[in-house]
Amino acid sequence: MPIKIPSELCVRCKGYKRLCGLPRCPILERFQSQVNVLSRINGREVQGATPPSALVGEHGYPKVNIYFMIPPGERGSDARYHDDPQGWISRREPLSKIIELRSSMVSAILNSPVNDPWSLYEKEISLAALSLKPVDSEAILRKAPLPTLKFDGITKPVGPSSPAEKIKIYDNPKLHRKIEKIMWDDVKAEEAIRTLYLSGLDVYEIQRAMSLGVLGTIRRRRLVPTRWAITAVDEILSKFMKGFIRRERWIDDIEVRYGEYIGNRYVIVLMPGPGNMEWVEIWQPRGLWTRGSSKPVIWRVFEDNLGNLSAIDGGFSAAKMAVLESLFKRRRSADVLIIREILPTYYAPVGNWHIRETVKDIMKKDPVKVMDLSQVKDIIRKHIDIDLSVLSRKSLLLRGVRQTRLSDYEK
Amino acid sequence: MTSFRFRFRDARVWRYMVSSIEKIIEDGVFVVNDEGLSLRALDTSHVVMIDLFYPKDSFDEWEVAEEATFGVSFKEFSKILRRAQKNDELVIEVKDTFLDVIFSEPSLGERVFRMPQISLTYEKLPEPKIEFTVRAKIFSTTFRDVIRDLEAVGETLVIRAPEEADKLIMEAKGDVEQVEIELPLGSSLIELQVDSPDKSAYSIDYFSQMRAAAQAADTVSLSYAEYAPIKVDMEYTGGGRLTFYVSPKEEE
Repeated sequence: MPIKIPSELCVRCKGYKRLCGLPRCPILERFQSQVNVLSRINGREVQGATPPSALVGEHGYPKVNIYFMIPPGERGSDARYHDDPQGWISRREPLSKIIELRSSMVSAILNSPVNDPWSLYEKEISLAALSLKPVDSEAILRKAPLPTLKFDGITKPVGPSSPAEKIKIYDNPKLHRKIEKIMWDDVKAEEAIRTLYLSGLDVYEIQRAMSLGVLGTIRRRRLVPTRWAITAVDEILSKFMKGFIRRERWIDDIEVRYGEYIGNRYVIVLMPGPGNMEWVEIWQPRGLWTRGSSKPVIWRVFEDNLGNLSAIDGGFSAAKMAVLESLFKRRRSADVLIIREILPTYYAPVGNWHIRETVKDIMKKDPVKVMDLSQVKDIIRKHIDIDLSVLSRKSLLLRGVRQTRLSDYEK
Repeated sequence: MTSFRFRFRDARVWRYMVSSIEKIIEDGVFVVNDEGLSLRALDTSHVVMIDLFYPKDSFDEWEVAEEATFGVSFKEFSKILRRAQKNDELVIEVKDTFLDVIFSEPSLGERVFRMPQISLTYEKLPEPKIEFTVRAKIFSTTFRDVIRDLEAVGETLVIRAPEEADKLIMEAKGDVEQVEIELPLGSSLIELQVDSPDKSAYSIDYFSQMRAAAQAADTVSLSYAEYAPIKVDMEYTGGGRLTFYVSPKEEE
């Protein structure tokens, strides 16, 4: 008889932490075998322009795989679109299209010790992966790739892959001039990330730079598994913006915003406060991680205004960064509650980019301004399918526990 | 530019105090004058105020000619003070724009750390005026143990005292767990005065940050009133005192 794994565990694990004790996630396994993969290559040679798209795996750390991805036969903007979270969300691409785009790229795998990012640099592979435009390249594979697709909750899906015999870069990679400069600076990665962000680079570009080991003090450069790099960049930028916002005035009203994309609905509540943040995920039953569950499963992360986190969660980091970015631009401080409802129609984990981009999109909208929490609850009720009493029990910010200020007591 | 210098017997007391302060505020201005050394600062979110005072008698050496101030970044200051070892004495010397932090130990000699002063405008903050209804005094070890128990479970600390004034109760609630700690008078509770059996709630994190400062203190006094800030007083050997005022949490 198969063992029943509680959905609460799956929601925390998301196929990654192996909390159930099995060597591979049975949900991902079953799901991977159901996805059709478009493989447009025959033989062992792949030509095309990398969008750019590259991923550093974590398996086997400190000897890791680098996946260099090429959409066979495609160039220019077509190629670009295979790795373009901002483009995907602006066109509201459905989940099926994203899976199609990812699965039609072929990955050439290289293996390298993490403390040697230089050899990738010499072969121009890291440069190509950091290019602002697609880079014409060719990979000769050791064997024909198997048509599979790998999923993980943080990184984008990876299509058919095979070890590379050789990767050739034909074009000249075009780098952002700030990256070109900072690569040779002997500064800590944290500082480099802040500098790049403030000079207007988008986070995906920074994530790639972090991952491919071109940031940090020169002698301590590492390849960083993409999964870790994504969350690290989100957390570093969040910490920076939070420190800045802390000195600013609190917002005046309670602001509520709503939005959705690929089976994920969000209600974002900003309220006057010193910067506490709360993330509540509601996984509806019979969804990706809640196959066996008949009730919604709730997962919550809390971060106080001093930055103490109750758990590390890549989804929260992405959303947090997007909300803080908007507060940072407004120069206001607020307590933030983000409710994310995941419907069964979100059938494939395609990475946390969609969380970051959807939340960013939502923050651009005009809010509904309300006076008190009961009105907030009315709005939540309208958009999200959850028993409010269950949610209020879980959520500290929704319970209406308000942090007062010392100045409130000056008579 | 003024210059002054003072010597304190136990460098580690400073190390513990500043490691608490560092987590709550970023920078602050110390004032030295005829009475002693003081610091009063508000955290950026205006939830916590820190008030430190050391009388001049508690220093072994006190060479202060006139009132002067020095501004520090607590992160940097704490980084240096963390180097304080057992038996180290602490000498602070301010000259021009520099601050020398000197650890001296008879058998080892002196280690001199120099850090820049930061220029901050100094304005004297008023002390919050609160009519406290409950006052209690506990040993600092008890304080630290209680906070550790509470922070394991929840994010909000609720403190209450019954009318009989025979004990103080602290509790915290998490998603599913909860914890209640009774401090009966006579054992872990040294003193208790209850004017009205009040209850109030505070964010636990600030208390967690105070644990380090409590490590070097002898006793900790707690004074609060319903829906009013709590005053947490740490008393140190030699008459020093570090006070935290924490604004409460209110339920709508």
